[in-house]
Amino acid sequence: MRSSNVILTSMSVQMKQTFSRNMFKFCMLIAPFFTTVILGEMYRHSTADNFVAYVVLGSGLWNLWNSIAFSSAGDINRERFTNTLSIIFSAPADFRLILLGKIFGNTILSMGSFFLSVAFAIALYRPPIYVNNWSLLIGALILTITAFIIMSIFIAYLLTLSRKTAVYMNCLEIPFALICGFVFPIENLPVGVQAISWIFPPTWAVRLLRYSVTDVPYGFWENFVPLIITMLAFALLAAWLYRIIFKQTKVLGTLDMA
Amino acid sequence: MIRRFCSQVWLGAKRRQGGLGPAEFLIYRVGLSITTLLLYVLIAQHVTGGEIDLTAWVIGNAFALCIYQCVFNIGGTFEADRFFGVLKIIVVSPTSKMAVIMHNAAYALLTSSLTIIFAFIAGGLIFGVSFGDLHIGMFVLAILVASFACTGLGLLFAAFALITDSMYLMLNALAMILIIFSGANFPIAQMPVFAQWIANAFPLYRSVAAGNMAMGGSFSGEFANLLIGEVMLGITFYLIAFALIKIIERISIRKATLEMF
Repeated sequence: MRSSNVILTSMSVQMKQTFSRNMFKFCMLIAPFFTTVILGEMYRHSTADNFVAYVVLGSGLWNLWNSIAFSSAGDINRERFTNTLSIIFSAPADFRLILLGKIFGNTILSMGSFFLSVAFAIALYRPPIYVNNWSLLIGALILTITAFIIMSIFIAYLLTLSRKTAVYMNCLEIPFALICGFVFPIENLPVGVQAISWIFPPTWAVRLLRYSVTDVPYGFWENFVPLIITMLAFALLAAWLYRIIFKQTKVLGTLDMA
Repeated sequence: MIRRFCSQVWLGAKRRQGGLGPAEFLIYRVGLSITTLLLYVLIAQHVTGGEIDLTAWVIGNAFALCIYQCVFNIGGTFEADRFFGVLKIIVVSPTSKMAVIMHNAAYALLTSSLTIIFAFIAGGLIFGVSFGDLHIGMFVLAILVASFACTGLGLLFAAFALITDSMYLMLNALAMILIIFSGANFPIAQMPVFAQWIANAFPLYRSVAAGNMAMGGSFSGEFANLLIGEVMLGITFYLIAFALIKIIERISIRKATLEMF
């Protein structure tokens, strides 16, 4: 089977399965409204620039991350629960391609939560929309989604060997929103914590997005270069992690019992 | 009877926490609570330009943390039983279903109160809250009342697990509604009038206000009114939950569709 076929089939099955889950419908359709209201009311008396950068984009990013990370991490758990994890792992089709298809499927659906959040923010609060550079905004958005996909692959691999996936996946939402500065600038964090933020690609992607919509005290290249470097680093880490998982699984045979 | 109740509470606690090692317990229960509080208080710090005392946000968000214990733990009681395949056994057993939930409620009441205290201390140390101004008696009273009322709401929602498989959707939506209407992050007065009416019908709105009054305040009529209002609201939830569980239990036995969604 060709790689593209594996990805497309996995993606299509994933999208059907994911959308049939009520919890995903909540993440995609209902949660964006609530997060937008919380952030909108908190930022209500803030400046217009802040409103676009932290409410319109912030709630969109927060929900996008939740949908992608929750589904991608949860998929491993669901496969284990339905006893299909070891089957897809040992199938002739590459497990990495199957997982990639799943994450692509989740990402496409999760984009809905991003656009819904943006739409809710604009409809509820009618902020003056000001964008510095539209083409840069679209480019930054594509890079942000790529960063989220890479992080999701890394997390999904990391959770493959744990049977406490549900515990860890609940720890993905708030800590990442905090560390990566989805809804406030990471400069508000203590310097020691900022150093942790710099490790993660979404931090740089979010800063790049903000650069495209408002006047910020930093430039394009000082975010673009670290973003590419951290994305590559996490992609390499994920590849390395897969080799470890592959070895451990074959040697120990405990994938379903991990 | 009390001994049996305590042993059931202990068993329920072990079922919930038994799967977590010490490190996981710290990350999941303690770390996540503090991170949640930090996120909202840091947003407030950014919005206000960092020049305003953040005590009100620390108190409000510490109180809001009881949502996770009360709503998800209690609300998800029957959902968890369905997952472990014991829901049918529980429904047909002669045991009172309310007693089954109350075992979890007692545990949630305790853990949510401890979570609020711990998060308040941690948040207070991070954001420089003046602990010397705190009236401990008022604060503890507000915490207990908040946990009591939230537990009541959790009980009310727990019953729905007998007739729907969308519990986590309902509980997540409820949790977000509670965060919005708690007044922990922004004054409810800035929302439309109907939102203020809604806030009055949900727990936390009054107890968060009472908790804030404990900072530098003393017992007053206003404080007492807030707590009495919250206790009355909690009692209403408990009474409705009692009735609802009885009705839904009958429906679930008659329809026999407990695990056939």
